[in-house]
Amino acid sequence: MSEDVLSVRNLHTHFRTEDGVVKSVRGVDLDIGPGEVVGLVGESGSGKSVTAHSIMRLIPSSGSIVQGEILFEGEDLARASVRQMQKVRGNRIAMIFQEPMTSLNPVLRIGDQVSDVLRLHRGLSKAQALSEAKDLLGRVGIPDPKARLANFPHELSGGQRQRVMIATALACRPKLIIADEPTTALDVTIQAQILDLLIDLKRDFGCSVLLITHDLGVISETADRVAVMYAGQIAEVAEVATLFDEPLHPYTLGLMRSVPKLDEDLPEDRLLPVIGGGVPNLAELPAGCAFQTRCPHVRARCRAEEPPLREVRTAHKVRCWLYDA
Amino acid sequence: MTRDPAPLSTAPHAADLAQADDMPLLRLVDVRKYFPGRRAFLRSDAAAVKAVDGVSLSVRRGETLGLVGESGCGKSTLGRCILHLAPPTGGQVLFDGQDLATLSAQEMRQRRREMQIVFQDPYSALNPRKTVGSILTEAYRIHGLYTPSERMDKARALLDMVGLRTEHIHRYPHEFSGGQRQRICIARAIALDPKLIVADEAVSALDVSVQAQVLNLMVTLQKRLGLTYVFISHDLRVVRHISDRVGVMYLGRLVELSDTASLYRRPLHPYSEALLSALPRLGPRTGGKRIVLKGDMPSPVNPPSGCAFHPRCPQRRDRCAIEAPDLREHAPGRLAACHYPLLDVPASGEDAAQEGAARSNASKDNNIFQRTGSVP
Repeated sequence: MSEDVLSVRNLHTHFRTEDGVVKSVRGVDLDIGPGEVVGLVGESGSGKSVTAHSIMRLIPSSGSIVQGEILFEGEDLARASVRQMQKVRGNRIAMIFQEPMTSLNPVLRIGDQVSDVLRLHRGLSKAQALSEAKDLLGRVGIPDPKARLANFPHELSGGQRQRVMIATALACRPKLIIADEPTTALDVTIQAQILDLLIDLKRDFGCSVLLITHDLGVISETADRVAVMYAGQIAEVAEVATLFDEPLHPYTLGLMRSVPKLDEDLPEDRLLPVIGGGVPNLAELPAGCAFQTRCPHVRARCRAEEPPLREVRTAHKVRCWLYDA
Repeated sequence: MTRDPAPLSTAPHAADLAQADDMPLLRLVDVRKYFPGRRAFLRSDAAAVKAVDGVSLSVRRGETLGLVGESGCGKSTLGRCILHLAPPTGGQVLFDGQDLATLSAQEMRQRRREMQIVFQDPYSALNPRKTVGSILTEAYRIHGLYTPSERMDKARALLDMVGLRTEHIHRYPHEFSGGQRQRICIARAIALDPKLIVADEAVSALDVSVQAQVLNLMVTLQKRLGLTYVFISHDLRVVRHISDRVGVMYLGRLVELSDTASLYRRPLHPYSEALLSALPRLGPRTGGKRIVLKGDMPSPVNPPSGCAFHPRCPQRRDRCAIEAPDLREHAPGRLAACHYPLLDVPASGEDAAQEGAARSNASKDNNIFQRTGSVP
């Protein structure tokens, strides 16, 4: 698949901690095609955010990419220099974070924050950059964009701040946007606005999106393909409709069942089906499958050998021995 | 859900006895909580923030009342008003028929044993320098109950009840995961055998799989101990799952109050409808487009005229900007504060007017047209 915008191959990212080496990302493969929205879903500690930060080379100094390739437009970002990365970040790959209040500079005016990117990467003059910043703010649905240029972040609501983040991300027409929990801090009605906006913009600007979230609903409404992460690995990857109609991995299935449904009759006892136990400690993983301690279908083989991520149906890969024909 | 017929420990006021034969455990009458505005130099007329602005409702014994709404709607403030952690600036909170504002400090302390709260963030709700045993026995120490060794036995029983291992009693909060810590908070809340627990976003900070475990624990404890819950959450899925009735709040007011099944099947208030429709579905969306509300929630310092929701309401008419609607009963057990509740609109399929006995059937019929589930 040479036409993929981003191609992550066997990515391993480890962190040194007091408790030993934490293997946060353990061999992730991920492809994102042009104009495609790929969802990366998982619970805390699954490695989804570390994967994203590895792609952007934004992992803290206690961590490092120990193995693997991150191929983006013919360049391996895993080995790119700091200088090369500065040309990529915010320019060809842009990132949107969860909390717009902490990712916007509180002492800079909105206009300056959005136009800085344009001046830095596209060499526009201050006036040109401000004028384009105004257009961008209008494009992401901020009312009265001209007046907003002079505002500080605290003067805007959470939803408006996230729109500013998106405008900044779009400023250089990136090939890829990495959105890390972009709507998690927002209320549902505002979340709906932001998701609609992201999809609109993706279509108009033709960029690809890597959408990271813990929310299966957000994935289901916006992504084309979904990768489910568990304990630093991709457990399952499929087209969004396939994944929701026919989840194969016991973890995916358990996760979907444990979300209360809106349109199903409530069980008489009001009890939800749960996945027992908790996520394993990434510093001392057992041999074999990482999900073995919580899996209802665990067999002897799962405790001995780690299952590979294999294509068991068309475009549907799963990391589980249950599907070993 | 079994109704707890527990005898009243305190004689209710005569007026309340006359009110109802089946006295609710908790009754809020026009509860208001205004926070004074920030005073600036030479400005003393700063407007008050009307965080809760006239909420009236009852919570029956043994039931779970869900309170939903977006940030700033006043649901958490209302939760604090119920416990008098933030005494209301107006209105009454009647617990077991007794107005909490009339109690002395001594009486209030006794009352507090019967009502507890579980917060969202189990990290900050537990003292990091105390062991679990010390945290769980604190309430007994404060109230001078039991001997020290009895207290530890009680604490072990509590740990067992919330699904934690009793030998972990000497551990500190940081040695537990988020879900386990929330179990500790729940254990602490039930230590004094309360009647009412206010759960303020109690499962919101937890991962999906852990959230399901803690929800199941809450449901099990409710049955076992005959607890009454006020379950405050922004998560409409969780609220549907756990609540018998649900109140929807917007800008400090209750805009809809209904039994859970009817609300989720056919909301009466346009805001409830928008809120439900904005929620992402699992799997492809069937039936009904998503209503995307324009704009943000207005400031509670300067709420819009008339109905506070009118600037964002897709159904608004002239009257809405002028006259604030009261919370009225539009169908049996279904209250909404709207001049033009969605009841009046001819609904496709089951009409919401045919409530009551046909409810369970209707809900089944209705499901045929909806997705029956995203999981095989």
